[in-house]
Amino acid sequence: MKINSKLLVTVDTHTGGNPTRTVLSGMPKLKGETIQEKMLDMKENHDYIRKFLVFPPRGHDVMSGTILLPPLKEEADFSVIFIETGGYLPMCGHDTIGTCTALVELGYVEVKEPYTSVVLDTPAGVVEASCKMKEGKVQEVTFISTDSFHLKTVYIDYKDFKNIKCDIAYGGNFYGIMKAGDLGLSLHVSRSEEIVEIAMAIRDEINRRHEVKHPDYPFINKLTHMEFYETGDVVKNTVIVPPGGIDRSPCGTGTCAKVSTLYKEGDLDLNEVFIHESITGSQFKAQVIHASVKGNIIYNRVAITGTAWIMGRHDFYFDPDDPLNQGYLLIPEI
Amino acid sequence: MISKVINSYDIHINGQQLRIIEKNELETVLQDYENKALMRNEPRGSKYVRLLIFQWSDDVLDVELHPNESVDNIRILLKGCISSLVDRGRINSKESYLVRNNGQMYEFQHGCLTTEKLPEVEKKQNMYLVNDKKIKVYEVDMELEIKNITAIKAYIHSKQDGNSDYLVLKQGEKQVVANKKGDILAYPIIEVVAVCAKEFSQEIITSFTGLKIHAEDMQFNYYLISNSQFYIEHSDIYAKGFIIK
Repeated sequence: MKINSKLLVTVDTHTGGNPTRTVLSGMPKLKGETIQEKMLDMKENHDYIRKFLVFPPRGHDVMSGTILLPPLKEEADFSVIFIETGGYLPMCGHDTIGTCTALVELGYVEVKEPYTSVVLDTPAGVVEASCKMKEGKVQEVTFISTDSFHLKTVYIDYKDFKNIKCDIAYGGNFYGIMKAGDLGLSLHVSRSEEIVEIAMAIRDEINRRHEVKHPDYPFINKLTHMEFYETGDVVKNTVIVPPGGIDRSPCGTGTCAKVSTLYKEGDLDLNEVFIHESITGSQFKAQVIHASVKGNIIYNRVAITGTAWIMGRHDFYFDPDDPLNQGYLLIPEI
Repeated sequence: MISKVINSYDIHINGQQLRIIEKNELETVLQDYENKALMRNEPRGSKYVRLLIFQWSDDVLDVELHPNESVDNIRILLKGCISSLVDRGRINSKESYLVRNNGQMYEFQHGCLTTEKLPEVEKKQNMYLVNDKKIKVYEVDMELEIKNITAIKAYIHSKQDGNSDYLVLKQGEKQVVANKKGDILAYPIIEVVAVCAKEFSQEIITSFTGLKIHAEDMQFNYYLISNSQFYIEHSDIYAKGFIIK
């Protein structure tokens, strides 16, 4: 055991089954004045830390995390960088819920009952989370999404399944939303490998055949995530994230995309509560709290509510002699 | 509110992850929650985690292994575990160590904790027999890189016949190994290393992750991943966790 290895201290939470590894200490100083610049510096010069923390054998296929930094904006409690096996995200719903829960329950922010506010400076902008408290425990966390919207509906063929409807909606990432039954799928963990395989094939086919472009940010120009659903008293979903894993939670940004689609179709009213259930049985609540029209697109602000649990504290040792100190991934990186 | 704390540490040997916990850490349980499953399964663990629970009985280290995938390289895993316990001062360094796992007794010499002799290989028709494992090897033209994973998986599935314990795709010194279920293994398997060294005269074997193994007597080290403290809360929605492949 080498005690002169580089030490990174994390607290791990899960939000409806999806993990967040919040890095409390051990990061090198990142260059830049803003969180966007610091994220870029990490991506270009310190990406080995992301791989070290989220790839096996320290993480797994859908491990994700946040790098916690002192606040770079006056109104923020902390600045954060979102990391996952696929790279970097400007914003992540389940990580926001997980990190805020850890910050409150570990006393990193001033706790107030019945609600404690946590303000995060993220690469997507400032996000304010409201933590509902009871006896020192965070019961649930609510945050407001960035603008979400339904972009278009396309129809695709997949093997013997013809002319299948796919709604393309944005909730922080672009999601291709399809009814699982239309593809002969049931959303069960035992079928997870098949779900991923079909989702990635359909996503690539849609990208070949259709233009998917954010109307305000043209550099966001690809369908990256797929979302299958089953209807019922509660809508069950499975979000397939790049490079090829299943979100264990109902997915915050995926839920924003879903409710924007429902709102556009007239299936959900303003402020009506929508419940989304993941493949592992966890639930998020969502409400469209504001809608505005620009061109032919309805932009929604969505309140997302979910619960996280602290599940561990780790001292990770980065050993320069370890040939797998940047881990490995048995799925292609994107 | 946190109701149960479990101390552990994780190591890996050539990418095979072991989560090592002393048995007494797991003795008390929260009603309806299963400690062993929670330590192995997501969200605290993953399909890659092999939970190793140990306790001392007289002068024997009793070990239980609870994997989510198959247990391969068991002697190497046990040696890595002993090395780590010695380094942490949990075992005094001795000439040899007795380990009991699943009713079988192992004796490991201290001087051999980082090497494992390659087993004998017997060829029988189109199969290699090593220890009690059956191995099939296919020399292929395709590039054995992660970017080709879909084609590699399709090839493996086309060759699966349920007879072999390990199916090996080999191109030059690089290899991809799949287990009986067709799952690709990220770490080298000693029986496969023996076949590559003895039947294909390979001196260096490169695993799918790019790890290079010198194929004489197999040399290995354990690497410390983390010292960890796990928490379980009464309100957590998962009583034993889950595994998604």
